Amino acid sequence: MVKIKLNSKEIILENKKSLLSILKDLNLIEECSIVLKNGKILSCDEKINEDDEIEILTFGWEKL
Amino acid sequence: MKCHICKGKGSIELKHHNLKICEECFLIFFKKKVEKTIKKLKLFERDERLLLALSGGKDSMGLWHILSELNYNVDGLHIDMGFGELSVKTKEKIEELSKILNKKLYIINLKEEIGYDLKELSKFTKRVPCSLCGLVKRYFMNEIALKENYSAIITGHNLDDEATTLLKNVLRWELAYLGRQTPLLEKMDGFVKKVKPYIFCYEKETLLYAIISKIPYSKDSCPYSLNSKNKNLKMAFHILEHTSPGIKLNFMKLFLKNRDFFVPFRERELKDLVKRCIYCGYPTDREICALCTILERSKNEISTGK
Repeated sequence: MVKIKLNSKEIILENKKSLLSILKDLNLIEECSIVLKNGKILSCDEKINEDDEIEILTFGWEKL
Repeated sequence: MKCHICKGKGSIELKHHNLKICEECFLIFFKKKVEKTIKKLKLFERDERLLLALSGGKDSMGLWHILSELNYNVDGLHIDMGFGELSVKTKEKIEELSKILNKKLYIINLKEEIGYDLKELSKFTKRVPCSLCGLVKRYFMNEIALKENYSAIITGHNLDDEATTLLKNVLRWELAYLGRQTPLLEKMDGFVKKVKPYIFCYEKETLLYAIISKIPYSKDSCPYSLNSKNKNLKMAFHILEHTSPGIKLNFMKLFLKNRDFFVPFRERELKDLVKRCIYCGYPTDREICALCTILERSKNEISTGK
C-alpha cells in the first residue's frame, strides 16, 4: 500500500510500484501532473516503497 | 534515467523538447529559455522599469523569481478581489516573496477602490465573475503602471493558457481576438506595453520551476475557475500533447508566424478606441469606459435606495 497526497486529498493505492502505474490508476497522464517522492521529482524509472511520501500535483485535469 | 546535460541521475522528462534532465540542470535550462524568449521577441530591456501582475500562483510568483535572478528591474502588483480567507493566505505568500526578492509590491483592494468585491460586483452587474475580473485587472494594472511610470506590464500567462485561448478563438473564429493575441502588445496612447515572457513555457515547466526553486506560492485555485469552459480545452490539449509531444508549442509558434493575417481585424476594432472616458480618461469607444459605467450605475442605485 502507498499513501498518496493528490493535490490536497489523501488517498491510498495498493501495490503501486512506479510512477506510471500510479498515474494509470488515477486516470492521469504525465502531461498534466508532477509526482514528488519525499519532496523530490519522481522519475519514471524509480521504484516506490511503502514508507515513501508521495505527492501528486495536477493542473488542468481536475474534472477527472 | 540519465540527465542529457550533466550525465548524472535525471528525474524530469520533457518530451516536447526530447530532453531528460536533472533538477539542477532544469533550473539553468528554464532560466535560459525564458531569457531567450525575452530577447528573441524583444519583450523588454534590462534598463526598463517593469511591473509584474501577481495572482499569487506558481506562474506569476515563479516569473518574479526568474526575472529577479536575471537582474531585470521588476516590481509586483497584486489585486485583491475579496475572496475572504483565500485572499488573506495568497497575500501572505506574495508579501513573503516580495521580502525574499527585496522588490516593491503594490496591493490594490477592489472593495476599497470601487466599493464592491468581485462576488458583489458580479451580483450587482449580473455579469459573470471571469469577465469582470479581467476588466477590473486590466484597468488597475494599466492605471498603476501609468501612474508609477512603468514601461511594461508583465503577466504570467504560460503556453497552456495561451494555446487554450488560441484554440478557443479559432473554434469561434474570433478574428479580432486572434489579431489581438500576442506576447507583445505594444504601448498605445493611454495603454502601457503588455508582455508575456512565459509564452513558450509549458505549465508543467512553470510548476517544476516553482517547486524545485522552493518559491512560496498559493496552491489554491480561483473559486470561479471550476466553472471555466477553458478547462475542458486544456484537458483536450493535454491528451493531444500526450500522443503528439510538442503539438502545443508548434500550434503557438506557427500562429505567431502567421499572426499578421489577423492584425487588420484588430486594427478595425482599434479605430473605434479614439475617445477618452469623461470620468477617468481611460481610452474607450464610448463616452464612459466599461468600469466607470458600472460604478456610475452603482452610485445611482445607492442614491435612489435600490
